[in-house]
Amino acid sequence: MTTLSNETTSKFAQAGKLKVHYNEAGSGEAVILLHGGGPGATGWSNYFKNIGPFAEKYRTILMDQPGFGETDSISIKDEARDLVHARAVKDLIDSLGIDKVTMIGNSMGGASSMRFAIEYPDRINKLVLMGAAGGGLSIMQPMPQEGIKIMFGLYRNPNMEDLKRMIQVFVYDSSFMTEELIQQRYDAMMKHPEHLKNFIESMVPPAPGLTDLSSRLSEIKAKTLIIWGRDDRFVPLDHGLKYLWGIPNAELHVFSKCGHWAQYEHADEFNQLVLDFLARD
Amino acid sequence: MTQTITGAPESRYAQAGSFKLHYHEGGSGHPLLMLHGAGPGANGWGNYNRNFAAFAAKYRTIVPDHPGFGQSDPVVITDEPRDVVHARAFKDMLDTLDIERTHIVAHSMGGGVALRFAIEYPERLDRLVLICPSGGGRSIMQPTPSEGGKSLAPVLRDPTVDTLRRFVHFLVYDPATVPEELIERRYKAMMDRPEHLENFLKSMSAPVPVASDLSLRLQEVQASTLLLWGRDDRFAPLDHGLKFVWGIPDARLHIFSKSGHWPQYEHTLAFNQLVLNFLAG
Repeated sequence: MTTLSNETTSKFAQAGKLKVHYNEAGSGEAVILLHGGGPGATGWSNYFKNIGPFAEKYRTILMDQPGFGETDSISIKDEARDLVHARAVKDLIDSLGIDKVTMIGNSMGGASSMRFAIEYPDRINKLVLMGAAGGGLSIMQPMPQEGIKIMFGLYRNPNMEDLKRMIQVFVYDSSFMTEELIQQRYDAMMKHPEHLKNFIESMVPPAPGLTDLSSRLSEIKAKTLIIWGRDDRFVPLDHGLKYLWGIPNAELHVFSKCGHWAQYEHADEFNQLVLDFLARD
Repeated sequence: MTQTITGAPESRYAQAGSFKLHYHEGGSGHPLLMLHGAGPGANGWGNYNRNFAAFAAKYRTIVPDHPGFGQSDPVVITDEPRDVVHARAFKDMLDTLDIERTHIVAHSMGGGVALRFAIEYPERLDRLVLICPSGGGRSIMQPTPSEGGKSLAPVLRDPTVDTLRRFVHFLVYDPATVPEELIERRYKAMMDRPEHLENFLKSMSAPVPVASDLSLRLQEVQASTLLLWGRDDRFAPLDHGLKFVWGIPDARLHIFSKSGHWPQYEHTLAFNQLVLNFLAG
C-alpha cells in the first residue's frame, strides 16, 4: 500500500449549504471519522495514524466538521452544535450517494456521531465513540475539566504557550510531541481565525452549545463500541459508564496510560479493536 | 471466526505438590492455562467448554480443576489464604509438566489466584487475562457481600437443583440463555463430589480469606494484562475493574453490556476474539 498523505486524499463536496472538506481513501462500506473540537483540529490531524489500516477494508472518510479545517466557517447561535454537525454528515452522505455509514467520533465528534445515530437511525451501521462529549455533567469529577478550561482559554487567546499546555494534558505522555508537530498544530490554529471566534460564540450562552444526550441514549439503535482513556482530562470516564448503561447495545474499552486521544496514543491496539468490532456480526 | 464446541479431551492428572490435579489438554504451541471460578459444581471444562476449541487451535491449552474442585484432590484450607495455596499448586503443576512460562486466562476466584500467581511467580507468566476476577477487596460502589456471593452458601448447605439454579441464574444477565440441561449437568458434577461442598464451607469459616485483598499489590503485576467484565455482574463489582486498570501497570479493561459474571459464556465470540488478539500481542 502506498503511504497516504493529506494532499493526495483531500477532497471537497457540497453538503447542503456548506462546502465540506474531507480526506478519503479505500473502498467498500463507508466509515466516517469525526475529529474533536480543539482549535485547529481537522480530520487528518486527528486520524492520520488510522486512515491507512481502515482504508484497507473500508471507504474511509475523515470529515472536517462545520467550522473546522477547510470546511466552510459557520456561525451557530440558536441550534445545538452537535445537531448542526449531524445534519452536515447527513447532507454529505446524500451528496456522495452513500446510504448507510459507520460513524466514529472523538470528543465533540463523538457527540456529533451520537446525535447522528439519534436523528438518522436508518442511515447508520455501527457507532464508535472515543472520549465522547454529550454526556452532560460528571458525577465523579468537577467540571469544566482541566483540559476543557485550557481549551476555551486558547480559543479566546490563541498562543503557543497555552497550546503546549493543552497538548500536555491532552495525552497521557506528551513526550512524543515534537516541535514540528506543535508548530503544525499552531499554524492550523492560526490559519482560520474566524473558526476560533465562531466556536466560542456557538459554545457559550445564550447559544445551546453541545446537547446533554444522557436522556436520549436509549434511542441509539446502532451497535456501539465506547472507548476511553483512563487518564482523560477532557471528558470524564464516568460518561463512558453512563453510555454503556444507556445505549442498548454497547461495549466499553478502557485503555490505561491514555488521555483524550486513544486513536493516536494506542493506535495499533485501537485499529485492531475497532476493525474487529466492525467486522463482527 | 465461528464458534466450535467440542467434547472434552480425555482426563489427565498431574501431581502438583501435595495435590493430584485433574485437567484437560488440547492443541500445541505456547502454553495457556485456563483457570475456572469457584461455586458449587464448578470445574475447568464446565467453565470454558465454549472457548476451548478456539484457544486449542493456537495454544497448548490446559484447563485444570482447582484443588477442592471437580476431579482434583479435595482440600480444607485453614492456614493460608486460598489464593496462595492455589497459586502455589499451579506453579507446582507447571514444574511437573515441565512448562517454564505460560499465559493465564482466569475467571473470578481463578482470577484472584492468577493475580497472586503474577505477584509471586512473575518469571513463570507471560500474558494475563482476568475475567471479573476476585482479589479487589471492598467495593466502593456496591454493598458487599454481593447478591450473587450471598447465594453461594445456601447451595453449599443445601445442594439441590433449585438452590443451584438460583446461583447459576445470578451468574448471567439473561437466565433464559442457560438451558436446564446445563443446570442438570452441573448438578450432577456437584453431587459427584459432595466432599468438595463441605470442605469449601469449612474453609470459608476459617480465619483466612478465600480471596486476599490484593489492591495494594497491583503495581507488582509485571505481566501485560487484559481485564474483562460484565456490566451487570452480580458477583464481582465493576468498580474493581476500574481499580485494577488503575493499579496494574500495563492493563486494559473491556466491559460487555448485557453481561453478568460469565462473559466467556454470554459473549463467546467477542470474548474469544478479544483474548486471542491480546495473547497474540
